[in-house]
Amino acid sequence: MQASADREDSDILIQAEHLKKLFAMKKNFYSRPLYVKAVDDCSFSIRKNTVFGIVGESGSGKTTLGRVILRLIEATDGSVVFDDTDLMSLSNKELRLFRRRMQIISQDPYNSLHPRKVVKKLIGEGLQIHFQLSSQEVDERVKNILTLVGLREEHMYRYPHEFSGGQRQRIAIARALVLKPEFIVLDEPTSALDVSVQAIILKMLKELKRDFSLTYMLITHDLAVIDYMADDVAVMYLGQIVELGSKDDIFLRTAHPYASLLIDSVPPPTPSEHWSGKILNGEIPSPIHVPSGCRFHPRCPQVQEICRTKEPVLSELQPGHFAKCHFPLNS
Amino acid sequence: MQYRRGDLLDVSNLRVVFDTYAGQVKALNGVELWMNHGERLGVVGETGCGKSVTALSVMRLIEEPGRITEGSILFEDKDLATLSENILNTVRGKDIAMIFQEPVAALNPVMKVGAQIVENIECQRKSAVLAQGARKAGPVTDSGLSQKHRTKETGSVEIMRDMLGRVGLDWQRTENLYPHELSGGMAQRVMIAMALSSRPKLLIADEPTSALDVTIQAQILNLLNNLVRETQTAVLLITHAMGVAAQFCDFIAVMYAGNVVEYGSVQSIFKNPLHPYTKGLLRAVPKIGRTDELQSIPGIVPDLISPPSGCRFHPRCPHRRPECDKNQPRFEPVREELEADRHHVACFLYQKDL
Ligand SMILES: Nc1ncnc2c1ncn2[C@@H]1O[C@H](COP(=O)(O)OP(=O)(O)O)[C@@H](O)[C@H]1O
Ligand SMILES: Nc1ncnc2c1ncn2[C@@H]1O[C@H](COP(=O)(O)OP(=O)(O)O)[C@@H](O)[C@H]1O
Ligand code: SF4
Ligand SMILES: [Mg+2]
Ligand SMILES: [Mg+2]
Repeated sequence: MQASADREDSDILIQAEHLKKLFAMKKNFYSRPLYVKAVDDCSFSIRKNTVFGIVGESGSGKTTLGRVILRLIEATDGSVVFDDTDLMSLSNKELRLFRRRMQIISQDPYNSLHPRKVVKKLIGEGLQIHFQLSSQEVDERVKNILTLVGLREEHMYRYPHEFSGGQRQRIAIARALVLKPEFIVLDEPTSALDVSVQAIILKMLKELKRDFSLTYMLITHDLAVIDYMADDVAVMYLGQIVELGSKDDIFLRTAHPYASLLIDSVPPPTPSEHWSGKILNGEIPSPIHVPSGCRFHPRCPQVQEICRTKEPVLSELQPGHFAKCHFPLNS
Repeated sequence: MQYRRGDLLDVSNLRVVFDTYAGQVKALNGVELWMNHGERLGVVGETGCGKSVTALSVMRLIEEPGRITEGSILFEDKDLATLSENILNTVRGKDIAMIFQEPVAALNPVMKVGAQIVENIECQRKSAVLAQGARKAGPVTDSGLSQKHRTKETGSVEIMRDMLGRVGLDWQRTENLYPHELSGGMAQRVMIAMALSSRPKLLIADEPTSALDVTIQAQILNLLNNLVRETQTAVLLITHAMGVAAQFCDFIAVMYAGNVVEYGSVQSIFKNPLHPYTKGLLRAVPKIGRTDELQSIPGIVPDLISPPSGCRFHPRCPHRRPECDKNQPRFEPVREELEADRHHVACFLYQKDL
């Protein structure tokens, strides 16, 4: 459905519908809970062997969405179908076994790797859980995967702190890949790295995707990284998808005023390119008390009366290109 | 007086080390950069290359176990590298102000922001009076800030409120807030207000927008651009984001492992990068609309306790020559280019006498 309405259903690996995640917050024991609308009614599908990019300012709900998809946090509402499996209906035991097929790599490899475990253990322990392998076989696979991500055999007996940021991210990638997953959520995988290291990691992720027919959900706040990696893109604002489409829809036929200003905020990386100087004013409001009508209306340069009262629907402008705005641009 | 390449700031052969248990970190290995009044210099390079240490040296804020071992930091008519602490205090925070990546950490957590700015203004005034006693003040160039900044009787509170307004904050709503009540963008605005309240000649901004969202980064850069243009304040902008440097700065200094390996006008650096490291860095930057593959620089940044001999980039350099690991290449002008571009490079590939 949605972004791939015109495509075969069999192309689709992940189908998310009406996903919602509210976090209850209490000021104190007696107060009525308030709800953080971290993810609020998100629907999309991810095609097999593609990169689905998610972009938006911090606090827009990207990480929560990525974790809800994998059931690392339970959704308040909505469904996720992975291939033919309804993830929400899996028991905890079934889910544990299913986990092998979907992995996550997050921003800070320092926190996601246990500091007291050597690389061999970090990478090998998943293998032992999911495949019944002899320790020789585990060794063999760990060695192979290390070479694949550009590390060496002798790194097997070192601890995470002995590696640079880029190398730690390679370890995290090796740990996810060794389980032969089909789907990987990449949550800001290079945001903590320098550009030259980022370039290596992004290229490697692209090659691995091609070689192992992987599907990625790539979460990042960096639009240039999205443009380099993604096939389809969802732009999030305050827990909702405000624009969805192919990469070209988003960058060349931008429809949502938020997406447009987000793109304009990026300084072009050479002095000869003119920076439009268009500024998105204000800051992202609290996800507890979301604005009425269109959630973007307090910051929108083309706000009209209707925007303050009526919430726009995410509607299809062109096949596969959706925007949640009463007055989409370029139409 | 020494020959100066820039009439505001001229850093030459600056060397800084840190004595640690693991050994001596040779953090700065002869840094060269300069700027005239009102110019904007971007210092770019990857983590650990010495950007912050360079900035802190100019503020003479290098603390134990670090020290400046060699070189000069000429600021107008003074050498900050050797100036006494007393005189230094009349420059620091007054003629040269600084803002950081983590503005909330730089503010006093238990003091309302209005009061902090006022305190800062009064502190500057006191040291200005002291300075006049200590030495004959040089000619003060009139800058464009409103007239009331120059009138002695203007209260510090009025200046604080005026400054908050200039950085786009409503003083009535802001002056009584504590730092933790500010968003990252607001806190950076407060820092800018505080830094510019003394009408500095040089603002050093160390990754001022790196912790912010791109939308807020654009707001802050736009604000800074307007404020410093108005007052002709020079800016030394440290960033690892090429786009920020490209759009905001007039000149660029590219640092690698403790050296400025290339320096020049923003056009010369981006259109005609010469140093193999600069070339590699520019090819690694992803950009919207770019269709070619990214290129990375093979190898990793060196350990500065035992840095590579000769050119510190030589182990990673695709063009290295036999002499590269023997001597440090000289930082020299690129002759065939316009003098106004100030294009300089430290690499044997361009050294004329070889
Ligand atoms: N465990 C949690 N409890 C309460 N609020 C949360 C929790 N996790 C995330 N949030 C809130 O949900 C919103 C979305 O957060 P997040 O998904 O991390 O956004 P992003 O990844 O886009 O920066 C934010 O306002 C955040 O503060
Ligand atoms: N207090 C310190 N003690 C030891 N080494 C330091 C200290 N401060 C900086 N360094 C070293 O100096 C070098 C330059 O650091 P820095 O200027 O902070 O880099 P950048 O700002 O470019 O990321 C690094 O190798 C760093 O480890
Ligand atoms: S001096 Fe030599 S090693 Fe250094 S950058 Fe130039 S060619 Fe490469
Ligand atoms: Mg996140
Ligand atoms: Mg730094």
